Amino acid sequence: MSGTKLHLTWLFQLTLILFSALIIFFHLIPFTLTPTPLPTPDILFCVISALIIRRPEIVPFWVVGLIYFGFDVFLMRPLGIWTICILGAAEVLRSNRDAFRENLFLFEWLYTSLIFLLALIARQTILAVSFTPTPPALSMVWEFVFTVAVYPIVLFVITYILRIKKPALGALGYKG
Amino acid sequence: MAGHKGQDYDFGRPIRRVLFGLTIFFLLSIFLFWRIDNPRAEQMRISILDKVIPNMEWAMAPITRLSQIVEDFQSYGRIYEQNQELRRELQQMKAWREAAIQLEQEKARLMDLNNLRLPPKFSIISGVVLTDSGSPFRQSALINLGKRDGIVDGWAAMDGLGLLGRISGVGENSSRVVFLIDSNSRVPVTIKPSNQKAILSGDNTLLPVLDFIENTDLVQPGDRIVTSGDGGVFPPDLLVGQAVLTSDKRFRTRLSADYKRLEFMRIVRHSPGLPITDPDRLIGPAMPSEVITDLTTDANR
Repeated sequence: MSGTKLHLTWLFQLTLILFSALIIFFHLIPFTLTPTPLPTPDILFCVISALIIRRPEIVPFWVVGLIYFGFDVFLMRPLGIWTICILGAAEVLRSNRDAFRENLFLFEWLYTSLIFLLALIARQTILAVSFTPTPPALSMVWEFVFTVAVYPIVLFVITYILRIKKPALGALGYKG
Repeated sequence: MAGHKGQDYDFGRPIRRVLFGLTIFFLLSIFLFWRIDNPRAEQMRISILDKVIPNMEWAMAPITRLSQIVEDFQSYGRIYEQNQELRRELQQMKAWREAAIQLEQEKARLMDLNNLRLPPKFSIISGVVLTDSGSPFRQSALINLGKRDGIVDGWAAMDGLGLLGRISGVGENSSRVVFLIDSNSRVPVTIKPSNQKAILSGDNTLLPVLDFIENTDLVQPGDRIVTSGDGGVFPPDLLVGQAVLTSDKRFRTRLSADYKRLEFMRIVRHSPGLPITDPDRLIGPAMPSEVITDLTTDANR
């Protein structure tokens, strides 16, 4: 029983890593080489935070770190800084996971959005303090708006199509 | 229930905390390394990309091709207008060609009179665009030419017509081209025909700004902009674009290179002239290159 569960966790982690590789891949394809004014939503943050709230064993911190460091390396970002911010955000979500036991979608949405905003502000602050050229503030606002807008969609896919749900109240007792 | 869960976690928790702390520390030190020794960190990044990206080509090629087909298909929609436009342009081109031929002949005669010696033509290597930068704030592309093909940092990249950017970061089989529109790009240019010097600085738009123009009164919208060759990175007289005046009274450049449909680019092989170390090197006939290299090594010793 526990063997199958472990196996499934590995499978989920592998899928998550492959999915993020796919996202990087799509970022890199030279569709157009002209500058696009709008940033893309951070879909992976939505996936990771939704999974942390539901099934935290799928996304241990090293998976998050690995994925985001890959993003930093391949997408020509400052190395490591966004990874640190996301790891911090994920850790806050993980430690406050009990607050989401009740199925309050609005609360979850607001909470993750707030965490994402804090992570963005942290990144911008660290970059500014270390005199690294920062992306313009307006594009940061758009990144935030897009990511917040995408969260319900990601949540819908995870809950109703992939059927990954929170363990029911009291289910933890005999699962371990 | 909660107690049971807590018990389960108690063994792993301190170890996990230490590992988490170590990860954060590791990432922070990587960031500091990147910030302090940027060229070396970027070189490491390039070598990672160099290992991975060329292997992904088989997967990227069909999707890239597909997106191009879709774009081509969209352009069918306005094929009639395009045809009209092309006819008009062709008419203008014929006029220009006539003028160009006459000028060419005149130039050849004048040069003959002056006995002028021109700089040698540059040789060109062509490469295929592999990926773009993947970020809206970095305007660059990865091409399939690298150390193997003799690419050197700083060489100019052009499309058929105008300057695109320069090589920045060379891997074994791939290298990165930073475009003129990247916000880190600064290129010394000359505005023709007034020969005003300026710096072309990218700002993430398709119209890079012309900074530090000596005398703005002498510059007209529509003036040609070419590289000046100052600083020794780019060869002089590569076509960059045309000056335009925006509503905020700043001069910008409409680039001649077409970033929209970039599949291939040409890298201009260019080695800057030897720096003049002693004044006496200026006098007398040109020495053979072997002698000059010997002299430079002697001087360095």
